[in-house]
Amino acid sequence: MWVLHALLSHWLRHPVQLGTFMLGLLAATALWSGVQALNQHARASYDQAASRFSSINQAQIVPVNQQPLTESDYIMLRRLGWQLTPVVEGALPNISAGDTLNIIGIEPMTLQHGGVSSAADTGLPSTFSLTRFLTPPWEIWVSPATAEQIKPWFDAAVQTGFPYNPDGNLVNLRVSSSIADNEIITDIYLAQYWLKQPDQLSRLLLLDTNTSKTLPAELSAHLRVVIPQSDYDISRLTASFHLNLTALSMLAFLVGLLMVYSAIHLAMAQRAVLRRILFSCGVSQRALTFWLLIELLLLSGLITLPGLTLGYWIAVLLLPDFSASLTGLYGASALGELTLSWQWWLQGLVIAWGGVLLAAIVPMVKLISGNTSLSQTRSNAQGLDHPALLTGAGSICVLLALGIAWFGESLFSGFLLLALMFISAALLMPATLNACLRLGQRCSRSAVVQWLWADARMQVSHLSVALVALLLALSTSIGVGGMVEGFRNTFTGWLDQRLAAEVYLRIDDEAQAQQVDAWLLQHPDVSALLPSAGIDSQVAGIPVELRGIQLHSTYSEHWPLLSSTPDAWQAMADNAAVMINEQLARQLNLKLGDTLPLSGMQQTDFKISAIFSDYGNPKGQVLLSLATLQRNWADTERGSTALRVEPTAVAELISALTAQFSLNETQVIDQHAVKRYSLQLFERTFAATNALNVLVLLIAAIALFSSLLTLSTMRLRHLAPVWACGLSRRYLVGTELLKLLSLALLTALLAIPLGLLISYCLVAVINVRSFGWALPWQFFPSQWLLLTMAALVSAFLAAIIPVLTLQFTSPSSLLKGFRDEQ
Amino acid sequence: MLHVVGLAKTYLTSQGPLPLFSDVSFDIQPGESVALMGESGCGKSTLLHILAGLEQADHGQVLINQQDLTQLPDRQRAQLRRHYIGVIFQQLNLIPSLSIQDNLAFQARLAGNLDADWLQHLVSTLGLAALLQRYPAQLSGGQQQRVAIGRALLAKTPLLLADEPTGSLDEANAEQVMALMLTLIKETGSSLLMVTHSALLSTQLDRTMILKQGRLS
Repeated sequence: MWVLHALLSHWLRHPVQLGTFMLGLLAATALWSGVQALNQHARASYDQAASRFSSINQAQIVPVNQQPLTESDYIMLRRLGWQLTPVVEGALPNISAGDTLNIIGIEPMTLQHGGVSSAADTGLPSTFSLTRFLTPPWEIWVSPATAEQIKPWFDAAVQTGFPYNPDGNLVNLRVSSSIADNEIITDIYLAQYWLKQPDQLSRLLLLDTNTSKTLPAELSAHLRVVIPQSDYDISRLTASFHLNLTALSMLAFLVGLLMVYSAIHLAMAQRAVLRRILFSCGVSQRALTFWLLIELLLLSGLITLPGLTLGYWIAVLLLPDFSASLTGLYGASALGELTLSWQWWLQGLVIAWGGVLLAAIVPMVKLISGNTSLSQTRSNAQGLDHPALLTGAGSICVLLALGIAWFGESLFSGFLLLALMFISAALLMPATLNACLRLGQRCSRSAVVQWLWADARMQVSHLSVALVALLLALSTSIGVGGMVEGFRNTFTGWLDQRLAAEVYLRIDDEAQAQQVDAWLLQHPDVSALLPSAGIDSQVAGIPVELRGIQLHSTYSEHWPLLSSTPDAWQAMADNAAVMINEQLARQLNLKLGDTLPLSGMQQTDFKISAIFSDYGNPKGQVLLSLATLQRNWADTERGSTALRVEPTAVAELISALTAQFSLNETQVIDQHAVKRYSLQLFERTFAATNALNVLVLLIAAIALFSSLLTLSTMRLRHLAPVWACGLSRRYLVGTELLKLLSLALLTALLAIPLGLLISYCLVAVINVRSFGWALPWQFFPSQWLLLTMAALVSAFLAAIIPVLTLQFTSPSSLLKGFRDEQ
Repeated sequence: MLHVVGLAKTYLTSQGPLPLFSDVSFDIQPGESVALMGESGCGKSTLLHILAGLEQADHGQVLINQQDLTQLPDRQRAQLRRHYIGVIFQQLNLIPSLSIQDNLAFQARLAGNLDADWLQHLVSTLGLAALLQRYPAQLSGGQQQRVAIGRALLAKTPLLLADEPTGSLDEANAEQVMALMLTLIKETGSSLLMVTHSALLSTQLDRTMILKQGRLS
């Protein structure tokens, strides 16, 4: 225990080192565990959704041809031996603008008897009572957030519709945190009542694994069995999103760990004398190793709990944007309240301890073997420890990265490429800085300038860890920032092109749609009515959507084509060609002029006349003329209709339409509203990324600050001889500041090419492998300038305290410090 | 060369003011070498630092080349030190980031009076020819002190202030370094004030001053 006491006393005498250690570990643990909390929570939600009512992971029977699925159909199929459970779902009508509340009606008896799901799988807790669920006054289950949202409805004066049952009584409100936000789960009978769909069902989930049965002839005309498609697996679709966040949090963890390493390295080096004394007092190497490990575990244990708590709060703060991104991008259910498992806490503890041990292993081995001393650590005038080893390892990483860039094809290899780029940059950066400074020293003539370069080189060896952290943070910001900014530019332009029509109509009821069309054709402000239709199909075994559009100059003038033949639109009008989206082109390696075989059509061969960009669509799409689609396929579903309207008459038309046909705002959509929503979604998608980015930069700035603060006590040894030779203190203060700003500037300059490489890797490799489409690689010099300024400001703030100390400490104190050094 | 009048210094400590010395006055003539002796903690090093302009006195005057060092601002004190004073500490004299060659020439280049022939002579006399491309950390303590002496002498400053320059060396090394220093000082005609604990060393200098109980004798 006395050995531990002696070891711990070091930290009390060096509070800045202790602070660096704790802050680094706190930041590393918090950011890593925060993102992991979000990922874990999202995955749990996907699993829950998949085991429950997911429309995309479950084999099911759905209605087609605008025919309803009725309870009679369900009963017939049950009698024929089909293991099914019915689901009724729909948006709750008459709610305030911007809100969506989905009612999901289930039939728990068949769900349970199906043997596939249990009450817990439906998201309902173990306290769920079948009797209360199925009998008056019935009950509804919602998440805590949704419960808050719908509470006012329980006090409403009008006692009809939701949340009153057909008897006019209020239903019981039950809350469960395992239910997604904006979802109301209730008995199927109540759902039909509130959605005004008596006897109608939305779909039938197939509970047995045998999905090869054929529907009876009398049902096959209006029902279809849909087999889950792996391409629509939410976990797979969202994998890249989670991987992206995990990679960023890993980077933040790494940057935090660099701070920890920096503190431990110095602490171990300064204990060379203590080691000698302990050995001379009879402490064995093994005992010293043991107590050093205990000390590290003790210190990291103290920090892990606050780190995990901070991580939890970061996750809570990011959850709304995170949830909105997943919902908007992939249609994944909105995530409810954050709940964490014991595995998360354990994982956090293990990662924190593992990280500390990883950071400590080399300095600790050096101390125990007596391979280090403070003088060695301080005196490397060549600027670096083991430069050849670092450069060699960095070069190997570069070669590996080149190999992966050439041969790798998977998403994982894309992220590995990114990781290798970071690692090689971290390994090569100190040597590169050193070479730049040496060149500066050689080119200078004045004694003071030569000393400045030489001293900066020496500082690089002490600050290299902090500078590497700054390099990684800056290059990530340049890379990710460039990608996001480029995406924003492209996306905004693409939206303008793609949403060229002023108003979009979506009416599922064919009879009503025809009435609306007739009314619109008579309207003086409507210059064109451009209906569309779609159907799901397959090309070479890959699910695609065939979308037919009525050809019009609106499309030929605005549609965002990446490449096209000269007569692309005319060829489509002549039924000879189709256009495909970039995702499909990349997936099947299709080029302009290739023939696209479309099964199930009378005419099967179409030339590809154009490839268009289709951001955010996870699925392949084939665009053809509406006439061609309808001629070849009878089962098409009416899609949205684009209206060309005199811009000044849009608002008037929308209000007239909604009044005339009782349409709601989900059926009549203003182009501006769609754009606004899309851009909002875009911003929210990158909100978590941007927040992590800023946090990584912040940690890097803190790492630089703490390194400088730690080093400031050792700088006198370097400055005293120069001072004695006739340079004033104010001059030395100026040179200190200049040196640190120069190092930060050099680091920022090195971060720009690295950031551009990262940006290229993101837009041309990761993005393509994640989503199937590429983005143009764009440069944003203003962003580089801003980040360079941020690096300089960080360095200035980090340097200011040590520099002010030098400026304002009395000469006697400085000399006392110098004498203490001696 | 050096005219010191009524110099006094008191340190403020947590136990109250701690007077180090007061009314210290003396002169050093051009070419004269003087030993400053006294018990540990009597203020010898502080006095030397005040004379070098590294520390401020509470009272008194330090006149070098007709300029009162105590009245000059930091920048001008640094200028004066650069041209008129060579300082040699007990250890850690060298700039760790510069090679031995650059360390040797540093002050002379700052003062703008680097004499290449004199540099060659010093390098050869001090036995540093083989060490010029090395760095301070790669040298022994004796070698480092020889470089520090070379740097101070290369600038041809009229006054050398040495704070136990051989204090960290073994006897043989100390004698060798001291002999070299005194020979070269005689060649330059500089004055020397050296803090030392060694009575033997002090006998090699022109005279000895003793700081005792805050007074100089």
